[in-house]
Amino acid sequence: MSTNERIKRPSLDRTAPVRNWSTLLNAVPSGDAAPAGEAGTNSRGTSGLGDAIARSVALGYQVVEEYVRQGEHAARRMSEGAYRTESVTADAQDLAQRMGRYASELVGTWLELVQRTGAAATGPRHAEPAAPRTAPTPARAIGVAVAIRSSRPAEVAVELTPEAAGARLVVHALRACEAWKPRLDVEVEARAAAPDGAAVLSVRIPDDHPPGTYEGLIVDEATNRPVGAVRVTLAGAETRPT
Amino acid sequence: MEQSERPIRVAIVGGGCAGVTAAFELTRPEHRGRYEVTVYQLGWRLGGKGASGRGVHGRIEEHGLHVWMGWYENAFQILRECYRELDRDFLQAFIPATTIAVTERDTRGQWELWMRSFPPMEGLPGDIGGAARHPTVRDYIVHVVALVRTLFADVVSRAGEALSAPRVTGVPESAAEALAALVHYGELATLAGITQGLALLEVVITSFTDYPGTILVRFLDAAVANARRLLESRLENDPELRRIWQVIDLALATVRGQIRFGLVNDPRGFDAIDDYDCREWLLLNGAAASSVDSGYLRGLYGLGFAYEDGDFQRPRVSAGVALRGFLRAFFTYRGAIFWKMRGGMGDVVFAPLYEVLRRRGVRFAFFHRLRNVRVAGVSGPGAPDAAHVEALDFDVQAEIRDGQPYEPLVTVQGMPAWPSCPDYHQLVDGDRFRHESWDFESHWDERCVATRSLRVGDDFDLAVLAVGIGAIPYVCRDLVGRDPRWREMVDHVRTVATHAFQLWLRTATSDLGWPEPPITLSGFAPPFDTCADMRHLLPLESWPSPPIGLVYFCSVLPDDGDYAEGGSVPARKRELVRALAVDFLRRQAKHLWPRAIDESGEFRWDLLATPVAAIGAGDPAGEGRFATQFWTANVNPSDRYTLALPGSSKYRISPLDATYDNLTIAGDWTECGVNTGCVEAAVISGRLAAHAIARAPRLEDIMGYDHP
Repeated sequence: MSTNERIKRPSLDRTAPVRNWSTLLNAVPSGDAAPAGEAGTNSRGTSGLGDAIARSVALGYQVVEEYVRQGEHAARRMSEGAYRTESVTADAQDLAQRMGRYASELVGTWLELVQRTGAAATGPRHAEPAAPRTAPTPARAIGVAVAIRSSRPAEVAVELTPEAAGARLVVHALRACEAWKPRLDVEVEARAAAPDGAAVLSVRIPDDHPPGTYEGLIVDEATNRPVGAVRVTLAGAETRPT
Repeated sequence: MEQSERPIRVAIVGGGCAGVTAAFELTRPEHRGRYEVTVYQLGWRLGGKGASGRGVHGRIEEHGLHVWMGWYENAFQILRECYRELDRDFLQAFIPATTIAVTERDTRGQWELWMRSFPPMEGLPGDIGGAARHPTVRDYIVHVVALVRTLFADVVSRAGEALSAPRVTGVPESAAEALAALVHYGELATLAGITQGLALLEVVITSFTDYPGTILVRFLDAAVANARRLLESRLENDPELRRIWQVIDLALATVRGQIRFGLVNDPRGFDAIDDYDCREWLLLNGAAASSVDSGYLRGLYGLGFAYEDGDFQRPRVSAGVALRGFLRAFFTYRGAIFWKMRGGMGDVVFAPLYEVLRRRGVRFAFFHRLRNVRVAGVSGPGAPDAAHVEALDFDVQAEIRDGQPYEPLVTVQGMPAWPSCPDYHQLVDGDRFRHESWDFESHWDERCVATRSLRVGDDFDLAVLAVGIGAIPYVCRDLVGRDPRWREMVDHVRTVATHAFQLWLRTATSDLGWPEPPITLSGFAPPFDTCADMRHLLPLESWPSPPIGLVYFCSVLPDDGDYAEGGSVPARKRELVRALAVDFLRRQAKHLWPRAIDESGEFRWDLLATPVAAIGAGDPAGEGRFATQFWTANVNPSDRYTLALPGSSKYRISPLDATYDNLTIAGDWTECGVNTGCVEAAVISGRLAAHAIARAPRLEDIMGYDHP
C-alpha cells in the first residue's frame, strides 16, 4: 500500500515528563548533579537574606554544640571525681540560663528572618514587610472517648487525622480478615460533657464473638472521606469456622 | 493524524496491565468508537505478570504477591472507573492495610520483627478532581524533615523515659547521682535542641526559594553527628530506639543528599541521581553503614525485588528511582499505605477489565504468540517512507472450535475469574493438547497449529507493543537489530526471575506462635524474603473443608544461567523452587511459627491442607505433602520482573517516542515517569500509549507522570 494511505500517530506537544515545575517556569539553569562543594550550592545564598538565614541556622547549630559541650564537661568532671552537689546545681542553673538565652536569640533572629523573607516573597523590595509567618502549627488535638463493653480483655486503638476535628464521624463496621467472622458495630455519639465535644465511640462485644483483630475506617459523614481507623483486638484462641 | 472516516484499527499485543489500560483508554465512550481495538494475547488469560488463576477447589494461584500501594493513583482510577461501569463497588474489592513490617537479625541470630503503622490519609487512591498536584523536591524535603522531627521527638521521649525513672524522686542523694542526672539532662537537652533545629530547618526550606545549602548541610551534619554520639551506647541495647534512629539517619541522608546534589533546582528531578545505587548514594550522603544494612532498607529492597541477577549479595537500584518511589509511597498515599485485594489479581483486576472491554467491543485474540515485529522505512524528518511497523507475525497456538471467540472466564463463589489452565473443550484438538501437556505460556514450548501475519493497512493501522521487556529480544528481532536505541534498551533495562509459593494451612498461624495480626513482611530470610498472611482470601475459594491459614512467600530467583536445553527449563526451574521452598520451611519457618516444628526439629508437613484430589490418590505424608501446595518459577522472559538498575533510566524509550509512526510501546519497562516494575508504572505507560495514539488522556491528567 502507499505510505500516504497509512494512518500515522499524531504529533505530540511533548514527549517527556516535566520533572521540575519551578525550573520549567523560572528557567533556572541546570547544574551537574555532582554534589556542590563548600563554595556553595547556590551563590545567591550569600545575599542579605542568606546572611540572615545563615545566622539563624548557625544559632541553632550553636544551641546543639552548647548542649553537647555541657554534657561533655559534666562527664569529664564526673570521671575526675570532682563533682560536688553545689556545683551540680550551679551547672544546671547555668545550663538553663544558656538555653533560655539561646532560645530567645533564636526567636529574635527568626523574626528578622521571616520579616525579610516576607518582603522578598510578596513583591518588590520596597513593598511593605509582610506579617511574620509562623512555623507550621501542630494540628488541633482531636479527642475521642471510647466506651467498650466486653466480658473479656479487648484492646482498642483509634487513629485520627487532623481532618477529623469538628467532623461528624461515622465508623464502618469493624471487619476481621476472615470473612466468616461477624462484624463488630461501633456507634458514634456526641457527648456534650466530653472535653471539646469529643465524639464517643461505643463498642459492645458479644460474649461469643470470635477472637481476632477487627478493623474499620472512621469516615467524615459530610465528605465520606476516611479520617481515621479503629482497631479492636480480642484475645482468645482462634477457632475453625463452622 | 490523517483524517479517516472509518475506525482506526489498533492492535495491542500483550494483555497485561499496560495493554489493557491502553485498550481501556482508547475505547472510552468519549472517543465515539474512533478506535477499533484488538488485544492479542499469549495463551488463555490476561494479566501478564499480574495474571492469576483458579486451581483445584478454586484455589487462587498467583504469579507472586501483589499488594497495591496507596499512591497507585492511575491504577486505582482506571479500576474504579471499570467497577463503576460494572455497577460494582471497588472498595469491596480491596482491604486497606496500614502496617508495614520488616525483620532483622539480632546479635544472637534471632529474627526480630519491627512493625510500623501509617495513619490513614485524606481521600482514596484514584480520586479525581481538585487542583492539579505537582509535588516538588522541596515539598518532599519538608515532608522528610517533618517526619524526622516527629521521630526525634519519639527518641527524646523514649530516652527520657529510660533515664528519668530512678531520678524523679526527691533530692539527689549524692553528687554522682545528681551529676548523672545532669548528664542525662544535657543529653536530652541536646536531642531537644536538635529537634528544635530540625523544626527551624523545616521552616527555612518551606519558606525560602533560595537558601544557603552549604550551611544547611553543615547543620545537618552536626545534628546527626551529635545525636549519633549521644545515642551510640543506648542504640546497642534498645532495639526499638536503634530502628527509629536508623530511619532518622536514612531520612536525614536523603535530605542532605537532595540539598548537596542540588535536586531542588535540577530540571531532571530525581533522574539527576539515576547513575547512583541507592545504598551508595545514602552512604555518600552520610548515612551510617548500619542504617544502610538495616532491616528497614533491606525490606524495601525486598519489596522491590532490587537484587541484580537475583543475587541477595548484590542489592542494586537506581537512587533516583528508589527515592522517587520511597517518597511517593510514604508521603503521597491516600486512604491507606497498602491495599490488599479481596481476590486474585486476575479476579479483582483483569476479569472486570475484560468484561468492560468486551462490552465496549474490544476483541480478544487468545492463543497468539508474537514472533516478530517487522519494520520498514527509515527514520528521520522528510524521509519518503517513514519508519513504521509493516507486519506483526504470530504463531497461533490453538484454534477455537467453530470459529467462536474463546470464553476465558470461570465463576468461583460467584466471582468471574481466570482458570489456572485453558478450557480445552473450547479448543480444536483440545484433548490432544492436554494429553501432550502443551504449555501455552512457556517461552520454550513453541508448538503451534498455524502462523498468522497481520499487515498494516489490511489488518491494523496502529500497534501497541505491550509485552514484557524480557521478551523483546525474542519478538522484536527486526527492531533490536536495526535500531541502536532498542538494542541499548534491552541491554540495560534488565530483569530478574522471581519465584513464589503459597501454603494452605490446617492451623491458624496464631496457633503456630505468630504473635501479630495478618501482615505483609519483608526483609526476611532469603531465598523467600517477603511473605504475607492472605487468610482473607480463603472464603473466596471453594474448598469442601476450608483451610484455616493461607500464607504467600515470594522473592527473586537467583539467575544461575541454567537455561540450556530450552524445553526442560520450566520443569527444572520448578523443581529448583520446590526444593528451595522445602528447605526454606525446614530452616526458617520456625522464626515465624515456632510451633510449626516438631520435637525433632522437622517442619510439620501435616499442617499443610491438601486438596481432596490429592487425598484420593493417597494423602501424601512428610515433605511430599508440599507437592499439593502451589509454587511457581517465573522464568519466562515476559514474566521476569523489570529492574531499575543504576544508570538504566536513560535507556528507556517513552511510549510517546515517535520514531515509528504507527507504533507505540507500553509496559513498566518504558520511560513512564515512575521507571520501576510495578502496576502503577505499567498503567501510566498504558495511558501514555493511548495518548500517543489519541492525544488523550492529557498528560496533565496522568497523575504522577509529571513528577520530580
